[in-house]
Amino acid sequence: MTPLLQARDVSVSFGRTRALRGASLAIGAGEIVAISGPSGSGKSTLLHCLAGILVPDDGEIRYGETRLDELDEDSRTRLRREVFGIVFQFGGLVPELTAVENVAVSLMFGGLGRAEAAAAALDWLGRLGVDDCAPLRPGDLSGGQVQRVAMARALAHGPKVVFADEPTGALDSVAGEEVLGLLLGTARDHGTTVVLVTHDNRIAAYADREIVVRDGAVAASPVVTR
Amino acid sequence: MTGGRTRDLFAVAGMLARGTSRGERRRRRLLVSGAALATFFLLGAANLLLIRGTTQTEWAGLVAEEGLRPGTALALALLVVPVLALLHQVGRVAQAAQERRLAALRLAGATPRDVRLLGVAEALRVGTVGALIGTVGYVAGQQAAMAALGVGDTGRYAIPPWPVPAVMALVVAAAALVSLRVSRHVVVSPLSVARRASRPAPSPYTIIPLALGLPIVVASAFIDAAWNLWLLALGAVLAIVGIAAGAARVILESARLAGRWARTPETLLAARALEADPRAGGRTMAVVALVVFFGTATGVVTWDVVRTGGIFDDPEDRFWLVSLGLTYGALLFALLVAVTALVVHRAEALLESGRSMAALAAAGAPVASLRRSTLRQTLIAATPVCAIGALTALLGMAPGLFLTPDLPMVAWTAGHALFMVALAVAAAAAVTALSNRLLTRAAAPVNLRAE
Repeated sequence: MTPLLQARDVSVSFGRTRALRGASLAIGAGEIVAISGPSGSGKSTLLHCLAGILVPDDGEIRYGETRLDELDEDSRTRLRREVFGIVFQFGGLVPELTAVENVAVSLMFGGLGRAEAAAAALDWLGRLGVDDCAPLRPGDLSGGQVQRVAMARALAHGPKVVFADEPTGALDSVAGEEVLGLLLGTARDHGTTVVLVTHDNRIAAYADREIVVRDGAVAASPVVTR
Repeated sequence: MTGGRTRDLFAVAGMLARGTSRGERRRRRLLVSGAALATFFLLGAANLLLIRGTTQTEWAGLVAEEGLRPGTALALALLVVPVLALLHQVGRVAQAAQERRLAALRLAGATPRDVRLLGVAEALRVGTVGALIGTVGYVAGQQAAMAALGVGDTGRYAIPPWPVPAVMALVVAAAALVSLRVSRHVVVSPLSVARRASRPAPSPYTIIPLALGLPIVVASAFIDAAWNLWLLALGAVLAIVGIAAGAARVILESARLAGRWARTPETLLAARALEADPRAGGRTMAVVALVVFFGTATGVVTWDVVRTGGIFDDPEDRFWLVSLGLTYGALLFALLVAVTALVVHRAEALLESGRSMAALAAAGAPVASLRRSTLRQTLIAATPVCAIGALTALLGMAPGLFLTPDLPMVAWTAGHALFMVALAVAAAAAVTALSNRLLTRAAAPVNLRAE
């Protein structure tokens, strides 16, 4: 079976710091994969490369047959908007927008009208149990509510792959498990592939497979079996 | 506070000044330039007020005529207003950007008061350097100008030594006060620096002075009494205060309206960003609106001068040309300084929203759309405020325009007012477009990295 996402010998440097040194992995469609490793190991950088946010200095990133590292910025932006969904540790919500507007604005960037986008956003907030937060701004929400709104934003356009960078890192263990349960449950229901970055083994245990990154390279990556 | 403690604070401020980043050095240069400009204008105003009797200078009627000198001095002093707005804005950015240093100082045992005083000590250093540069520039510039123009009695026109220290002290004190005022909105804890929770929305009552001033100005045109000039002055002062104080509220209402009707994500983002903090942009836009106000008023004066004729033929009246030329030059300068403050405001806004911008870009929002959003922010804020500035000046200076319309007058004054609004809005938009490099940097993926 052809992997949905693939990284081959990916290297990235920030100035003199080498964040990734020839990392390779493959992820199948519908898989839930955790990329784990200690702080500074390069796992977030690897996720940013897979999501087309960063372009590697060397190596290949493939989504299906498409080489992400060869696409221009506009094409990668379109891909992120239409095919990928992204959740960050800090939520990444726009502080001036209400919860429903934060979800809707993403859909509006995808070409949806404001009324349809708001209706779809409200529907997703409801599915994730935060529809009562719709008129509130991120500053008025708890950490768990912020992450649920961020997940609604990442899922609302029906992405094929969701990238989550330490999505529970800013939450206590109970809220973290709730948020993760919702994300993975929704992803499984829709057959969405999830790539999850975490340094927490308990969180990694929720995934179908764990990929460990150490010193900028993949230390252990079982062969894709599906 | 003991003398030793003050010395220590100045020593720490000096150490901090040596170990700063390129951005902070740039901000400090802006502060020095602002203090130098303020000193230059205030020395010019003081100098004019101290010249006695009618002079022989034919190169500037506003200086030669004894009765016109106070007005010219006031105009020069008013040029300090946009400079102060710029200094305030730069000061806010400096406070927000110093977070690591200030937090580190708190960890090292400095109290919140010490941190505030450090800010003042730094402002005093920067203000003193700026005031010195401004003074040297003014004195040297004046000597050079008098030599070039062949002015004989230089002692009569040169600024005497005694007001110089007073002006310098005024500028340095203003720099320290601006720093103190700015630091009220920043909370420095040992672990981080944060802006105080957002302040309440600007009150609708802030536009009361404008609502009172306008009818008074219009009424003064119809009252045939000796005191109608005082009435006009009172109305004009109230209108000016109203524009300055009410700009943030006008921007808030404009943003609410734009947010309600927004059909694109760019407009929605722009409107909501303005709604969340109308005060920061309001300060800059108030100065831009005042430029439009004075520019429109100058347009009405220009019409009166041209209508009475003779200024191109009669050498006696040629000073009007010089005066109008100087006024337009001063207005352009004020507009330039005000829109420069807008760049600084953008830098400050991006310091706070950089991460969410980067997250939006990572989630697929095109950076070009984010740029368009900042441009719309400027248009939503600038257009109504500038239009109010122009309308206020038209109502005040040319009520006849609305009561007994005369086509050439309407064409000139209204056309001039529209031109002033368009110029100000275009300048603000152009500066925003230029500052979009900052946005591209803020939306870079490196800002997504966890701290």
